[in-house]
Amino acid sequence: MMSVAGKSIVRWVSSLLRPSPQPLPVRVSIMRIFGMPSRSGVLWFIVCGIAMLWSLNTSNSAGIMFAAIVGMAGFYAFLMPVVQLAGLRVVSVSCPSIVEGQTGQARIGFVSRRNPRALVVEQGSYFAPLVFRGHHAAASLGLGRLSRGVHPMPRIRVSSRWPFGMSAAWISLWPQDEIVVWPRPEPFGPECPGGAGQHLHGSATQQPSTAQDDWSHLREYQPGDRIRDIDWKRMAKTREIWVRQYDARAGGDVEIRWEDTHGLEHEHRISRLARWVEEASRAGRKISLVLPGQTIGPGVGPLHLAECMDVLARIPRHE
Amino acid sequence: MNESARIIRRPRRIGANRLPMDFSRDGILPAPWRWMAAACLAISVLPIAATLPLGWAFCLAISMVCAVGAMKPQRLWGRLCLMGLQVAAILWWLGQGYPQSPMHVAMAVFALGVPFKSIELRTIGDAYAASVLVMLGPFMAISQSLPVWSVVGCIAAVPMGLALRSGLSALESGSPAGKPWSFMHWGALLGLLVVAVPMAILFFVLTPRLSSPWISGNQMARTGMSERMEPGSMDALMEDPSMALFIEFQDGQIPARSDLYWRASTLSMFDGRTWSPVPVPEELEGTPVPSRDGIYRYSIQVFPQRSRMVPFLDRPLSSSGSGLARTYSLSHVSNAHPYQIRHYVGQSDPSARWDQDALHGRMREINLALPDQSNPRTRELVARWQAQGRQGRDLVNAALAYFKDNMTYTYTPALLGRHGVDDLLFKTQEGYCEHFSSAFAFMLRAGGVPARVVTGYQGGSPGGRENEWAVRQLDAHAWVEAWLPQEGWVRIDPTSAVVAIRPAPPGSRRWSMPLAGYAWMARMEQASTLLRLDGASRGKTSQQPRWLSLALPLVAVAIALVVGLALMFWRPIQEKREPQVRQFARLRAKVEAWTGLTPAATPRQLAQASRSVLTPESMRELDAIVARWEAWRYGQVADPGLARDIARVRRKLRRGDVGEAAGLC
Repeated sequence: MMSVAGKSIVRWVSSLLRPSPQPLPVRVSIMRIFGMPSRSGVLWFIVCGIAMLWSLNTSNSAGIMFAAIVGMAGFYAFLMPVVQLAGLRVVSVSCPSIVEGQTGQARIGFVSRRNPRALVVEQGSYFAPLVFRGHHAAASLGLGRLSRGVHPMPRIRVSSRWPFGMSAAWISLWPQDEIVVWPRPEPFGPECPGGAGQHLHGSATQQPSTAQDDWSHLREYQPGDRIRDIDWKRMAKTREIWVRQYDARAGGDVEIRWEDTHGLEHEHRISRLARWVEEASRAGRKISLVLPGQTIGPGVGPLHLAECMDVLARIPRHE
Repeated sequence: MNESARIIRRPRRIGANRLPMDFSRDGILPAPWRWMAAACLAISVLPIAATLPLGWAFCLAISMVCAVGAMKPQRLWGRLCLMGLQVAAILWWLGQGYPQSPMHVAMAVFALGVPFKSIELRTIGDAYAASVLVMLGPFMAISQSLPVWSVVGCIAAVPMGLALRSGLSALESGSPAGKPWSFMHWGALLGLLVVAVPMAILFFVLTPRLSSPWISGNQMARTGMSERMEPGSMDALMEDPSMALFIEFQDGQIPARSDLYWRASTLSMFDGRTWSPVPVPEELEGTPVPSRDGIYRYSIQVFPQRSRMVPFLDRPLSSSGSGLARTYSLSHVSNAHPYQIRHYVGQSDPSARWDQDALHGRMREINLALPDQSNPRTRELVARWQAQGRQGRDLVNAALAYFKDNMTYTYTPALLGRHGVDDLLFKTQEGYCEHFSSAFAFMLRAGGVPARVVTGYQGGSPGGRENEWAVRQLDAHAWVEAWLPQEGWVRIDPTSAVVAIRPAPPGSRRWSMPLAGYAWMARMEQASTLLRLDGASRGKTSQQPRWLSLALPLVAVAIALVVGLALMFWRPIQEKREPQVRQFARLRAKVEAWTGLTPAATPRQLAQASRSVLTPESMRELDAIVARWEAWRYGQVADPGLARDIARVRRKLRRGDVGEAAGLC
């Protein structure tokens, strides 16, 4: 039976191996950097060792010196990857909204004073090179296909084999962040009871095909507006950013209610609501999403759509 | 670049992702990297191959194999073909009778074998493996004590291999790696120098040396003086350029060349063909007495050899060193293993005489003994001389005259039959020191003059510093000592009667470069002996460890280590700037100094503000260059000569007359 001290050692080691989520910025603690010789590093040390033993055996000082220098090169190759990782910080994680069924990706920003080279960042079976320009680097890391809901950011691992590829050092990082996976709108189904206006087929990500002069009026740009709605010609003239508004065209509000999907399976209901919300938003209508215990809106525009989708994504999976 | 295109998904494997060890070792090696790896392999073995007999052929073959490998990784077919050619080449070489020692064969196989890695440079992992192989070349060169140029040439491959590795590690992580020959990764080598070299020195100093080897190895692989002698036994020695002895004379005085006889074995027993030492040493013949001419004091390093014999300058008066024992007639053996470098101290007087007037009893018998019925014609010749009344010195002179008139010095003498001395003197009449000394001693003994053969080394070459001397295996020699009444043992060198100066052995021109380079190895030995902490192999060298000289390097190394580590961890922030940016910063600095602007000013503000201080031409040039700078920096307009032009403008920038400018304002 393991003693208390033994248990706490095991807990400490496992906490080093598998860190808990940390708020940004995540700093690399040197205690958490691990190193292992690589295959060719092992070969290197074997050759060095043989050279050293041979030289000692024959009392050949030049040989001893040579083997020592070459062996210390291996030592340096052990040290450097650790040094490279030592000053690393994760400063940003940006994870654009993912729709269920799509491969998501997170963009992770790093800062290091040391300008490290040849780093690799990994997550699951995805990896990306981490190339520092100045003291900054960012990598887009695949997240895989995720189901609807809110997922914690997975652990990522940053590793380095620079300079000589004789050993690899790596560190496991767990930035505290969540990945919101929106429900996938069902491909076909009945129209929204309130009448969503024109029915547009197509995938969820397809943008509405607005003609250049379909808009009703302009307003000043606010953060969150779609870039494609910017009236570039006017911007060129006035040096201010103007955004086209379409909402008056379709007219009327639409209320999308949880009760209207009665009789369907839980996930199916959510995916139908997602389609309704998306279609209505695409039609440029003012949407109110009425769920049990909460109502969102009325509102319009992509920000509102995102808010609705977020709320749908956060509905617990089983009731 | 589309972001999603940069997401790389790795095939899922069992156990994958446990350790980040195998990202893309299996990635295909781009062509320039293959060339670099093949070049490293070639460089690491070419200097070794060049030292072999017929080395140019080896160099050609190695270059060919590496060139083939650099062009394209070969399929099994190509590899088998090349491998067949290699085996054929080595067999042909052996058939020509070129190798002088098993080591030559090993070196040939090694030098032709290592480049074969270049024909399978397909993946990044292969290039890594090649860079490990690259280390073997220099090690081979060092452990075989090859000439210094060869060692240095091989070692050049090691930094190349490391530079290659540093690029490969970037390549396999998907980072921009540049071209393999670009110098961007040499920064890693610099760091290596700062960190690894002091630690290596520390390791070198602190590692205890063995007093005797764990594995004595195949001693036949190393040539060296044997404890016996028969004509032809030194064949292999005559072309071996490796170091035998390294001597440091204490008083800075080196004996005359004619006195440089290094005495190893005294051989008195003769069985008709082979000369060997007296099995039970007997000190019946007296000891040498120092003359007034002066005594040489020296320390001597004996390099790995086949035998335990320790050569000293003839004639040694006293000697010391760990495990050293004086044997029969001024010979020395050591119980330290001959397969390592040994250190001794000695005092010799080349013109020392013997304190005894006559050779007595058993010693006289031994030194006159001849096998019955051997070499009848020689005996007949000597009897004729005796009949003419020639005794002692006269007999010796007659024999020398015979040698002078009839013998020819050659390194490739004809073989001798059963009556070896007869054959030599009357039939073949050619040979080298062994043939001559053996026959000469026989003649003297036949004529009633006690004689024996002494083997060792003769001559040598300067060892680098004024008081240093180096002796190589090819300086091996054999001569004769004859007992003459009232003179004692007298050295007689029949070879010198045949040739005044020994000709260089055939094919030895490639060894003829100065040996001075070997001195660094010997000095390193001395330094490490002084610094070494184990007493076992320190021996009783002339110098006892000087504690200051021990402490200073250690302190220096420790400081270098600390500074190196500190530099590595607290390296100042450095960004590599493009040349245009660098040049523009210098231009700015100049203008800022004149105008008093802060670095916050934009280039255009800078140009505006400098109007008041510059000459009109300078102003125009500055405006033009600022416009080009803005186009390049902010408009991404390519401008190849920009950095150069900025530098030119900066140099030509002149201040106008400030007073005039002020007046205009």
